[in-house]
Parts: sequence; C-alpha cells; structure tokens
Amino acid sequence: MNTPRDRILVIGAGMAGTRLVQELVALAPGACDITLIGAEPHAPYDRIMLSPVLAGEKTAEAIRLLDDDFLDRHGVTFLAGDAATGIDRVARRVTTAAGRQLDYDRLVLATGSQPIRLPLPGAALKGVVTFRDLGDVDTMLALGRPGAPAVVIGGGLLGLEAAAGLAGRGMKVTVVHLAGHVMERQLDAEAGGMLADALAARGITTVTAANSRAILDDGTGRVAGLELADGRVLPAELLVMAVGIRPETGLARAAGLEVGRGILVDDRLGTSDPAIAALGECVEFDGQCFGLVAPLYDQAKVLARALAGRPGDGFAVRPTATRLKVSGVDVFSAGSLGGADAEEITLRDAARGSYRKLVIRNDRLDGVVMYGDVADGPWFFETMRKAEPLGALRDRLIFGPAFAAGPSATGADAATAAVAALADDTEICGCNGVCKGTITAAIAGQGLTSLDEVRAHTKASASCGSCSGQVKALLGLCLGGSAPAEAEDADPAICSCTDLGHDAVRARLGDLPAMTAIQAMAVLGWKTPEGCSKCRPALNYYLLCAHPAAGVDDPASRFVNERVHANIQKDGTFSVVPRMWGGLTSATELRAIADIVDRYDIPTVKVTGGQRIDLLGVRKQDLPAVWRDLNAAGMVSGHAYAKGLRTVKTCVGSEWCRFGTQDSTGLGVKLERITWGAWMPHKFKMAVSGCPRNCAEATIKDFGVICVDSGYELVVGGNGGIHLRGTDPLTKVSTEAEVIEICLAFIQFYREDARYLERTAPWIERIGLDRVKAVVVTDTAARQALGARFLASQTHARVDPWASLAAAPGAEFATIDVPARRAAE
Amino acid sequence: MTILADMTAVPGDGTDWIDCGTLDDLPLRGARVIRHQGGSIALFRPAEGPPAAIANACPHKGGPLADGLVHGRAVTCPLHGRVFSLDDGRAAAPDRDCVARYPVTVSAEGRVLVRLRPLSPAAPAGAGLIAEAAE
Repeated sequence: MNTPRDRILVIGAGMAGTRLVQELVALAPGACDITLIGAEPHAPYDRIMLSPVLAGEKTAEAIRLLDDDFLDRHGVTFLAGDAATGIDRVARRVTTAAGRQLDYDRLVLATGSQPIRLPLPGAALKGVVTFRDLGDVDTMLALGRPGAPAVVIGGGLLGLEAAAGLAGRGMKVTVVHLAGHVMERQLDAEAGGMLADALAARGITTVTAANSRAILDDGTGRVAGLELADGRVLPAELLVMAVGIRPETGLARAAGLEVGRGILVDDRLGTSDPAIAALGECVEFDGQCFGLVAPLYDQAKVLARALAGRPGDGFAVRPTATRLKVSGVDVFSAGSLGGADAEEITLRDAARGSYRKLVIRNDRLDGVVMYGDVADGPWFFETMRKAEPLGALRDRLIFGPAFAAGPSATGADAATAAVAALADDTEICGCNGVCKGTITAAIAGQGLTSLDEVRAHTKASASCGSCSGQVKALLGLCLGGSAPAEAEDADPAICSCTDLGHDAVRARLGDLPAMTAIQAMAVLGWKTPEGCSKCRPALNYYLLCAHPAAGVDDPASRFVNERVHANIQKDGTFSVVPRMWGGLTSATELRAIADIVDRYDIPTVKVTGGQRIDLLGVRKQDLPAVWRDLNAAGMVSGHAYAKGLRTVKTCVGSEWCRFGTQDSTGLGVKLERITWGAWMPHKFKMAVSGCPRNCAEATIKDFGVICVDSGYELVVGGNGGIHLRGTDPLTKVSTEAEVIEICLAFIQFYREDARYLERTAPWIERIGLDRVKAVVVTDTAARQALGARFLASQTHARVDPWASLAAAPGAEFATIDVPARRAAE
Repeated sequence: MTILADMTAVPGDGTDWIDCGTLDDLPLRGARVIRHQGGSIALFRPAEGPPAAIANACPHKGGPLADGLVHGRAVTCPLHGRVFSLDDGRAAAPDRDCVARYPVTVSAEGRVLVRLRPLSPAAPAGAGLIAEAAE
C-alpha cells in the first residue's frame, strides 16, 4: 500500500494515448499515477468521427472519448492545451510549452502524426487547410459556406471523408486524386468506380489521375482555386490537403531516441530508452508505420500489459479491415486486392449498386473488397484471419454466412435456436440495418429488458416490426430465465406524452365539445404541450371522427403525406396517384396523365397494386400544378397516402368475363363513390370479385365482396403486408343494396372502435369476429345507425383535397431559392 | 413554385444573410425550404419562440426535416421518425446524431433573416437565435 506508485506520463491525448490510459486503468486500477497531456485544447475525442462532425451530423461532445467522471474516478491527471517541448532523459523530466516540469518514472510517447502539406505554390494562402483535428473542422466551418466550391486534394480514406463532410454542409466539392481511381490502396478499380459514382450522386466530383500544380490567389491572400498540371483550373474557396500523414517524431529525435520513419519500437513498444515507450501513428515497427485505428488499439493493449508488468503476447501486425465512414456509402476492404497468383470470385448486382470480390490464395481467403451491401464484411474478415483451408466452402463463400454456414442445431425453442446460430454480424432489422451483435451488445451494455427499450436504443424492429420475433428471441437469449413476459396491457399508453391509452382518450373525448388536438391535450393533462408525432395525429383523427362537421382537422397535426396529399419518397420527392374508380380509366385520362408526365418531367410512372397509376418523383413545389392539371382532366386524389379509403379493386365481372356472375366492376365503382375521402384509423382497401376465382383478391382486403350466382359473399379483416391474413367470412347477402348497407356499417364501426394505426385485421383479432357480426349483421338497428352516421360524416368528406390546395397552396409548397453567388464576391 | 430570395446587407458581413419574408410567410408549426447551391435548409416556425433553421437532411437517411411534424421546439423526421431539437440540433435520446444549425434573426422591419454559414456543432443551444442585428 505504501510503496510509491509509478508515475506514468503519456504525451499525446489522441486515439492511441487515450486508449492506453483506458487499458491501463482497466488492467491495474490505482496501480499507477497517470498524467495525460495533450496539445489540443479539447478533451480526448474520437478522431474517426470528424467527418460526421464536419457534416453537422454529430456534435463535438458526442464523439468525446473520456468524460470528467472517468478521469476523477481513476485519478488520472489530464492536461489539455499544453504541448511537451523537451525530454530530459537523465533527470526523467518533461518540459512543456506552458512551462510545466513533469517528472516521470515511465514515459509514453503517443505524439501521433502530422498531416502532409504539399509544397505547392500558394500552400500558405488563407483557406488552405488540412483535416486532422477539431480545430481543422472549426476552420473549415468558418471559411466554408453552402454552395461555394471546395477542393480536396487526396482521394484516400481521409480525403473522401473530408469531402463528404463538406458536401454535408452544402459545399460543392471536387476531389483531386493522383491515382487512377479513389481509395486505390483498399479498392480495386471496379469498386473504386462505383464509389466515385455514389459520391457523384452526393454532389462530390472526382478528378482522378490528376496532378496539382499550383494553388491560386484571389488577390487578397485567400485561395481562389487549384491549377492542375494539365492546365485545368478548379475554383475553390476552401482547399483541403488530405494526402497522407507523417509520424510526429520531433520530440523523440531531439531527445536522442532511435528514429527511422517513425520512433523505432520493439514488440513491447519499447524505444531505445528502457524508460520510454511509444505507440500509435508516431511509431515504426518492423519497417511499418500505422494509420488505422485497429493496430493502435492492439498496441495499447500490449503496452498496458507491459507497463503493468503483466505477461502476454507482444505486438504483431495483423491484417486490418477498412471501412469508409461516409453515411450511405458503404465500402469494406481487407487484405490483398488480388494479383497474378490469386484467384478471384466476384459477385456484382449493378441494379442494387452492390459488388463484392474475394481473393483466394492456396485455398485460403486472402482478401475481400465489398461495395454497397457490406453487412457480411466482418464475417469474411474473420474467415480471412482464421486462414483455414476453404475446401467445399469455396463454392458458397461469396454468398456470405447465411449460405456458407451449415444447418444449425435445434433446441427447445426453434426461434431462439435459429437466432442463437446467427453470427454477430448478421443483419436482424432490414429497415434500420441493425446486426445481431449490436442488439446483444445493447441488451447487455445498457441493461435493456423489453422490446420497446431495444427499439429505442438500437432502432431494431422499430420500423416495420417484422423482425420483432427475432428481437424478442434475442432478448430471451441474452436475459436467460430473467426475460420478462411481454405485458399485454389492455389499453397501453399512446406514447410517453400521456398515461392514457387510445380507448381511454376516445372515451374522454366523447364527453368534450369539438376542439383541436392541441387544445384537447391541454384538457386531458398531456405532459407535453404539443404532443409528439405519435399522439397528435391520433387525437386529430379521434376528434375528426367524433366531430366531422366542426372543422377541427389540423394539417399540422398530420403526417406529411396527409398534409400535402401525396406520398413522400426516400429522396424527399412525392408520388401522386389519381383516383380511378373501380380501376377504370379512359383515353382522356391516360392522355392527360401522359401530358402531365412530360410537362413536369416526372421520372417514373408505375401501375400500382390497387389498379391505378402512380406518378413517382414529383417535386413538392410542383404538386399544386400537377393536381391542377389532373383536376382539369376530371381526376381527383386517390388518397393513396391516406389512413382512409384507398382503392376498390375489381375484376371485369359479368360485363365481360365468361365466368362472371355479377357486375363486380359496377358494384366496386358504387362502393368507391360512396366511401371515398373517408378518414379511418388506418388504410382501408376493398375489392369486388365477380366469381369465386377471385381475380380481385378480395380475400386479403379489409372489406371484400365475392360474387356468386345466388348473391354476394362478404368477407372482412384481410391484409397482405408484413403479416399476411386472409379474411374472415362475415355474411352472405342477395342484393347490391344489402352489400352497401353492411359495408358502410362495417366501415363506421371500424372508424369508431379501432385504435389509431390499427388495421382491421388486428382490430378484429382483438375484439373478435363475433362482436363485428353482432353489430353490423345481426343488430339491424345498430347497423342502420352506423350507416347513417357514416353517410352524415361523408357529406363533409367527399371533397377533393387537391382542388382546394391547388387553388390556394400553403406556404410550405413554395421554396426560397438563393441565387448563385455573384461573381464579384 | 419558387420565390427568389434577396441577399441582404444586414447583419454581419453582408453576403450570407438571406431574406425569407415575414413570419406570416411561414406556415405555423411547419417549415419552408431554403434551397442554396448544394443543399437545402429547413426554416421552421414553431408555435412558441422564434423561428429556427437547421439543415434539411436527417443524418440517418437524408430525410427532409422541413416535411416533419413540428411539436414544441422539435421536429420528427418524416422518413423514419428521428426527433431533433430546433434549438440545439440534437437528436432526442438515445440517438446521438445532430444536424447543422443556421443563425436566424428577425429584423426591426419584421423580416426573417437566415445566415447561410452554419454554426459550429459546439455552439450552445440558443446560439442560432441572434437577437440584435449586429453580431
């Protein structure tokens, strides 16, 4: 207890120095007296995440590596903003720029590297920067502005990340690269070409095989552009040099340590002075220097053991995998890129923008290059590191672990056994790209115990929910016997803004006069003044359903699709679907649609599953004009975006079909004419088939009619989608009038009883088919009352929203356009 | 339908502030999009407090935040539901992303002005709202 502790001084608070401190206190807590000194004014941060900070996608705080609590807890002294200036190896003392004198027993140099500045004419101009630290990010933010041109010299990992960051801030970026394709050290020409295309789609131009000649002055000492050796001039208000790094060895060299390209170290990270070790980008080991983080972390482990006097393997260079940290552009590369004695297997899916190449030598995986779908990357990398003979695996290897692995053992619970057999890098949630390892790490690391918590922390199963079963199985697997049973609350709270459930809210609203959703929140004691995107649309619907004539509908309480009466697409454009009653159209309508497609440069026209035509890729600001022109040709909104009546699908029925028994098309048109425009808890689809062959697929609709010789079979509660559910038979009737009466009663019962965002299938499973039958079939009075309420509501609903919006579009449809910068500026 | 914005001479260095009309030109609990070369900015008008401007692209999948549902001084991305504060640009926990913020001021004449130069991610929560016309 009383033996004096070793004073360990770490110079450099970058990734390597910080990780060493973390490893050391984990390995031998309290054993050493640790001082960490960094020249940068910031707390240690994750340098790998600089690009997202530059792009404005992450805060500087979010990438912090050590918090104050950690430093306090472990008694680590951290000195920020002070640089070591000299080492007295005899006295074992370091002096700093701020005049500090720091004595040490063991010294660790983690001085990192310096970005290389090309000695081009004009390299000292204002606006010429490197991309290395948070200070560089601040400089770039101060000098860059959206729409202005920027040039990045260097198309390697760092250069592309800098380019992506600047493009994220709206700058027009050109990457100038010496080699024939970008990231040539990690990618073959084909993947490099795909990457350049993807960057181009994000507004980043790449100029390859280009040599820089001079940086041009705008006359005031600021950069104006880059001149290439072939005479081309690229304009630039900001020029980033990202051509490589050079180990920072000045301090070591001045102290007389042995230095080659970097500080020379042995496999225990010792330098030529036994009291001094070094790690990170500043060292040279076995003729190699290091620029990626994985070997740095390996070094930190080895050195921590050495400092703590623990046995263990020395440092050895292992193959390293590279990933490009640019969101939405996925690149993975490890090992060899190929060569004369290598066999190559490639898989290319141009349509999905996916490419993978395996390099095989002596029946062992020796390299992998992936572009696009890189989820299997870590599995390939592991296969490569194992270096086992591939044998029969070779034939299936390219398809990844799902096909390469053999059949799994079966346990008591098949779902759990299946999920247990998956590799950690297997994607569980396809919507949000979450892998098994991420989920299990979050469950263990954050102490998650419920599906909702896993959804909040990892996004797994938070979108479509089709992987909920797998996520639940993973929870069970991780928690073992302690997995809680999913509590099936009778009426769970709508969201965290309230403790009230859907049914409770509805009941309370029934006693209140007409008001808007936000007013209702105040009355019902909401915890947030304006709710959230879950509860506000629900309240808006409940109020609209209860008070159809009162005008309580608030567009700002609706999801964008229902606010702008079109479906938002992944790129922010919209799709427009005009109504085609019962699936019927005409030459006039088709001609008008064709003209509109030409007039507004609409990129994609598609026939939908609901027998209508979808115009995809319409710009938001063009929507009012597109609607106006569709209205002029007699077409109205198809409500393809609505929680409400979508389509009535029909077959041609007895009018044309030799098997048709009734006029299914005519009946479908009648049903659609009565019910269109109705808002409901969720989307609602109908179909009428003219015979039991069921060409209109009525048995997977919310309300279906199957015509037979003797009348009409009515079916309800079907849907396609994530959980396919066939309909339940409701009843059979003999006339069209009865079909319509029951249809309207069924819709109104659904409108008044189901919870918001609950489709008819789960609603019927929750309340039971018998109850539905009792209300809309058996109880004539109830049926007629429901029908009357529906028709009363419909007198306010059968209004084309396009016509009113086209006549007076709201301000949100108008963009504010900033003109190009004036040349003089 | 577009409106060409005026570059205005106030405040600051006279090149980056753009005039986005009056408060009434912005939809209540909604937003308008400012398009500039290379990207776009979402200018919001929440019911409480001053207008706010953030990058019109969710860092998750690039969703247009201007089309999101505005609740309090936050917006929910229309594509996958990530929630961002209009004041500090940060995603609601447990997400740790953030979006770039742009300074906004309302001039003495009632014009809403937005500066094209983004704030540093480290700037404090209220830094985007500039009370006076002088910097």
